[in-house]
Amino acid sequence: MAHGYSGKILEVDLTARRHSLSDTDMKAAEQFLGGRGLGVKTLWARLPTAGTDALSPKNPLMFWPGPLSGLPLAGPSRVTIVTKAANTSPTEPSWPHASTLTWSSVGGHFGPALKQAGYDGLIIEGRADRPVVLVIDEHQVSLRDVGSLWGQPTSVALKQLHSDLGPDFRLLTIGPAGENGVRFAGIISDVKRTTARGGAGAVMGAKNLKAIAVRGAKTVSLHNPDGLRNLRSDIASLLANWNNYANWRRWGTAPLLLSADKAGMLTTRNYREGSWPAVDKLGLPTAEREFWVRHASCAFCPLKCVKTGQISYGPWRGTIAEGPGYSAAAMLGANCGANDFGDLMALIARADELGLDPIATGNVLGFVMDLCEQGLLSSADLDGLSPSWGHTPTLLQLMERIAKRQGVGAILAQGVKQAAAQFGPATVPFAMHVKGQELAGWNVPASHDFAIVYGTANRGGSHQDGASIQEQHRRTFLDALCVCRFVYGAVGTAPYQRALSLATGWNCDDATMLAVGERIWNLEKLFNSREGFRRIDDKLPARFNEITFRTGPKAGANFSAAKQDSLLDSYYDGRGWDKKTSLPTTEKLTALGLDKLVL
Amino acid sequence: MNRLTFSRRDFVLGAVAGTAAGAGIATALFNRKPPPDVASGNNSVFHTDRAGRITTPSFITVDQARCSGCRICEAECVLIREKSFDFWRSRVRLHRFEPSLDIVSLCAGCADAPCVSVCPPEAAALSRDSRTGAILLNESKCIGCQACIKACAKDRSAVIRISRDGKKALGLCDLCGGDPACVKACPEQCLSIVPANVDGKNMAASPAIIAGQVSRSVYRSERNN
Ligand code: SF4
Ligand code: SF4
Ligand code: SF4
Repeated sequence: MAHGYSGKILEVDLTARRHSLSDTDMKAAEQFLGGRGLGVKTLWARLPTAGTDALSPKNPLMFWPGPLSGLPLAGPSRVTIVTKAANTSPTEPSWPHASTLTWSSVGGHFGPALKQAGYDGLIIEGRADRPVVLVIDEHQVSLRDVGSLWGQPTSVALKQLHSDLGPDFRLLTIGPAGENGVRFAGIISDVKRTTARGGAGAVMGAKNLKAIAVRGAKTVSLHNPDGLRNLRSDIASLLANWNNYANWRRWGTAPLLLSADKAGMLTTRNYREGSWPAVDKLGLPTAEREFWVRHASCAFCPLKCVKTGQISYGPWRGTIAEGPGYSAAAMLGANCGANDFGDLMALIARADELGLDPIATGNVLGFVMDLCEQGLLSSADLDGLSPSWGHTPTLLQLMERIAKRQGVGAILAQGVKQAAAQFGPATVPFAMHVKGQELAGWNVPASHDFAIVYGTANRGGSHQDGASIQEQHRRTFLDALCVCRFVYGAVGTAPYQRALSLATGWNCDDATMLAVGERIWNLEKLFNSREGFRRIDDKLPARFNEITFRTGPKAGANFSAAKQDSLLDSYYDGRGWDKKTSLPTTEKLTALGLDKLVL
Repeated sequence: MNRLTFSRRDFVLGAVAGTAAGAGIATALFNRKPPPDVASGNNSVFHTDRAGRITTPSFITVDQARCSGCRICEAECVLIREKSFDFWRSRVRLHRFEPSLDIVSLCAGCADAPCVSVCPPEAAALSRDSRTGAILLNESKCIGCQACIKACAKDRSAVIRISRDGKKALGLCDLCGGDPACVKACPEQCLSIVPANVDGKNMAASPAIIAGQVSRSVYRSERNN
């Protein structure tokens, strides 16, 4: 008897409008756990050749909880979405539609609810002939026509679905951006958390799937329930004794804006500077004094980092928005030259409503304004709009155009890499991405670690993947368990290694944990290698080699091409990968038990 | 433990949630006599015995606007009270609304207890605990007729529901015998156990109705600059 798993995966074929159950492969589960791990394992099996069009019915869109999901522990509150990415591409593609895989995870209650509904995973394939919502009420699974909800902003969809289905359903939905195939469209949860890296929202939209609702209260068998009960209190007291506990509950990630600015790690005006003089206007203390009205938490977590507020002044007074979390504030704030709190929150609110990735959107808008400033784009190229740093009304119009793919919005909706290819070679250096994935809210010249973080993340330009090989493996392990990064930051990995043992009966010492992480990381790498990604795709935009910060506490900081190469050399060495190509060696794959998959 | 007897918000919520709002306030504020159905304890002072359990008929009230929706109370109830991981058995239930709101519902121990009145005499599975004021469900007596479920759903909290096998009612909170686990566990301290000299029925309403009211107080259509 497998503990910690329900043993069942829900498979939905939208084309045939049918659903079925498959058995969880417990041998794979022991090697890959769940979440990001079982996700990549399954993606590898379902897409046996390279070059699948991410927006085609063949691309499986998968939602993976993990073996700890649904247990009342602070931490494993997320669900990991795994699919083939809609927005990435290699430098030298050998076939159309070459792209990386992507995983992205979202907090809230959806993952725990999916597990409590009785599933170790949800795999969606095909394409519905008309827009639908997938409703999972434990074993009752149905597709309902969404009718007029198609085209509606995310808050309208969430509200309508909650009132139609009942307030104890947990929801994920896309907005107009996902429906219209914007390459950086996200999926938003009912606690207003967006999961967006890799364009999972576009994949969902291409399947004509507006939303997923899930409800459940089932349990799985557990190896040691009493132990888990005690561990729950241990995690609660570890958190309560964390020296940042009170701050975090009060402010969430908002203070990071101030500390990143001080460290010169902020992304200002398309990454050209690492600090931003108006930074104190974008987060604290304004958020707390005149914006936030309530704080919400993900399942079983006391940290309540989901901050909701209402703009209290100016043209957007009354607008309800979530945040400002660090990433959105850095990218839609400093990177877009915002210098007013209400402006920033209006941008964040619009991104959430349209279902756009706030990180990529801030990057795209910064790119456009940079090009305008350089004289490489003018209002003639931009449907008559003249965006300039901090001019929010124009940025809001651009966002609408992107989400609806109208006019220039259709070009920008492809992301900075493809947009630059269309705008002309002179614009290419200003596109700040890795593998086609827009870079996030942490700048590089004053913190070279991010060359590894952004460069080697298997989903392209992501800031969440860790700067050292070990850290990458620790985080990958946690992603396979759907554990939140913030809780991890507070209590470390040990409680979750222990939780895994108590839930499943499997041993999980440090070596096991790191081996799981390494196995997953290398299989992701294999997926990308098969699609044609090589060493050149792990490099940051060359513009970083030309930028020298001129202002702020880290004035003078830069990042040389030589440093870039030496960082990659030692990274590949450390991984046992070939330095020239970046491909994993046979010895490495054999050691990880992955050789049979490829050789 | 939170032993607030009254917070301003309880008062406001009681006022709006009650069916006869005006009467509810007046009773709550000025009439400190115990509600008729509640066996009398010493209602002027709030008592606990040496084990920390309340000795005055009481109920749990929720500062809904402060709840973060973490569901720690829900978990606490099944883990401590039910000694299980079966969330279906939790006596506290969380509900999600848009714009962002999380609404808690649990038994309010209404003084007139419509659930008790409709329980068929041949079953008589529901009774009131004279010390704590909680409505107790004797599962072995319950015949699963669902009369109490319908009565509670009609215009109270709708917290009573049917077990998975369809045979027994569940969801009634017994206040953990007077030392409620959820109240102690809530990180936002938005649950309080208060003496039943305020009739819990004024707080009892469906999550959707409460959400509508709380939403109007949390999110304003206009604000003063
Ligand atoms: S730390 Fe914040 S984001 Fe993470 S689980 Fe807790 S509430 Fe959610
Ligand atoms: S008081 Fe006890 S039985 Fe009642 S809801 Fe709270 S934890 Fe459950
Ligand atoms: S523990 Fe408190 S804050 Fe959390 S859901 Fe329950 S009532 Fe709300």
